Amino acid sequence: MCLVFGLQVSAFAQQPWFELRNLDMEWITYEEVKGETLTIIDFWATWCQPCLRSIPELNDLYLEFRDQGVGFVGISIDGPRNQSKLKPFVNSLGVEYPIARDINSEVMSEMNVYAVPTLLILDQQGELVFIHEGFRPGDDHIIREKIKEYL
Amino acid sequence: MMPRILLFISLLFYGANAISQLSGNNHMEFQLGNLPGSDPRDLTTHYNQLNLQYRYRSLTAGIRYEHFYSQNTASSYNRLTQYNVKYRNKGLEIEVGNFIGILGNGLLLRAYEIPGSVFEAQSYRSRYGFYRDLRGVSVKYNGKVGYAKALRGKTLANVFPPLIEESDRRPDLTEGIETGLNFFGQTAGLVFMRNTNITDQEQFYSLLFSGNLSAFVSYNFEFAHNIENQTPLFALSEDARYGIYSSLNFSLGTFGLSLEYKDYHDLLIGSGISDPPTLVKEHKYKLLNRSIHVPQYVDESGTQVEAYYSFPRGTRLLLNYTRAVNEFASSYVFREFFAEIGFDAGSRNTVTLFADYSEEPIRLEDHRYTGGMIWELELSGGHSTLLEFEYQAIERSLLGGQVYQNMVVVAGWSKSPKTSVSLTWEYSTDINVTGGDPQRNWFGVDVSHKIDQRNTVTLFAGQRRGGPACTSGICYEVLDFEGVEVRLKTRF
Repeated sequence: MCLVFGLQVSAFAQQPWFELRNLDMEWITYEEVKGETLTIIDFWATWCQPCLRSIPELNDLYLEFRDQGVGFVGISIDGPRNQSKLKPFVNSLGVEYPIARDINSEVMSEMNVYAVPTLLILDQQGELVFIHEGFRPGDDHIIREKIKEYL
Repeated sequence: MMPRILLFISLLFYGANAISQLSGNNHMEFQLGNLPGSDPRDLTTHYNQLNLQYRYRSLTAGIRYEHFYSQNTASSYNRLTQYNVKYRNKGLEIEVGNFIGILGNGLLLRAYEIPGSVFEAQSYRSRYGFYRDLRGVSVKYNGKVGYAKALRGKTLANVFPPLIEESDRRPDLTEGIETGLNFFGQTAGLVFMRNTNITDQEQFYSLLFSGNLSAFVSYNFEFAHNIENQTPLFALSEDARYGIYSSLNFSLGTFGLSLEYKDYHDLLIGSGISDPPTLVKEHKYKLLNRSIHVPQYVDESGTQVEAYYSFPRGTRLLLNYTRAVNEFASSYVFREFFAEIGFDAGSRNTVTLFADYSEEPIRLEDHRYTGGMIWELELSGGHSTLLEFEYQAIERSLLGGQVYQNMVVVAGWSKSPKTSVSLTWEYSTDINVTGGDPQRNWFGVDVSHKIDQRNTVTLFAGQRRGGPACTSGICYEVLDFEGVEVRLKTRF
């Protein structure tokens, strides 16, 4: 039926579209943060223990790949109870890539993400090419290899 | 006629090949087991949630279909629980059907979803997706100079499973508008909300202010109040219904500080459609998450201070102080002090230590001491291990000052990025959960395997301790379970 209708069945999640507030409460969109070749989207929360360990590693990857056309964005799914903590928390970790607030997990749902941390690697067309759930010691090596593979 | 229609639809979709898209996910959960001590011990249940989304240009249409089967057929159901059409274009978003959203900081309304979570209602013994949405219409616009949103919908009371008639699950009709203006890094906003149900019609307004005072300091303030002929709009009297939330945040280098204040009075709206910021630390540790202070929106005021500091070599320090006061027949003062430090011990070890002291008189807990650690070790070839230990002692003076203990031990192994296994042992002498026995133990094993990029299967076997749990700021009750559970999550 899909062939008859010329319908594209997406590889995993819907192609990204979001418009969320950043740490300074300004609106940012996927178009503004996406990279020329790859885009890394990391879903996380302040109350998530593995996220705490993954964020400094992701910041290192951001510094390593930002000049190679790789865009990074962290999407916090913290609810209203943790909004106040978000900016001081992120700044204390020295995060340099943009952070967006998905206060009701709407973007998370639309992108078929179930848990935090979940890291997505999207290609130039916005298609999902790699997904990584959770964060254990050494996972930064796996993510680095995947970025190099898809660059 | 029919062939022409089919041809037209085919051409429409064929022409849109590059931009039309079907995606979705499925969550299947099978359980063989029951609440410990309940009959039958081998109760068979099956839950499935299918989500489908179709996108064509700026238009998205979606459905959610939920199914629950139990040997106890009275709790079984098949239901289309959500449907939605959404249009988005340059800051404008229009939704018809089921949607989630928030007014202000949630003091008056917050509809939410916790993706991937499944809730079981104890009174119905039926499982369903955990969300609180509205069914109606929502319009939002975000621009550089400001924003506006309007919504009207029937709000879900998610204590009722889908086997209850939809009209009974949605007792509240909620209507709201919010608008805000941006100027010089500040935002000022106004909310009006009306909630109508069979017993009452409530009207509220809210004033919002947020922004940056400097590169280092930001703030957020909301004042919500009911609109009623007898009560002045700014009254903070005993018969007024109001909520005050304010926060001040400070960042300098790797030091961060968050200060918050709350004062909520008679802010239970409708079936519970609001979700004001709780100003209570949301803990990731099992014992602390289970012991979390649940705010009482009938009357609660308090403060929270949280500070962060990252040392040059990657060591992170977090300190939190929380105080909440409930004025009922007498005053109940909850206090909590929490400290956490995380550091790398060598190149392959990551250690996190925490300590917590609380007083929770509303739960008759005079002194509660909790501490623990998480130790992770990176091995070669993508392997790693985890050891988690948590211990808690609770003193209840009404019970003769007796001290009750809780303990959690988790040992885990993982082979990234596909497989992980963990063994969990929980122990308690708390008479609230031991059922008269001097102690109680829970043993469980969790196995997770990512079959491929689309499919992940998880298996749980053993005993799972229930109790209060909080995820994404939403607190709910998890039931005990003894048996086997298999979950399969699929993306497509």
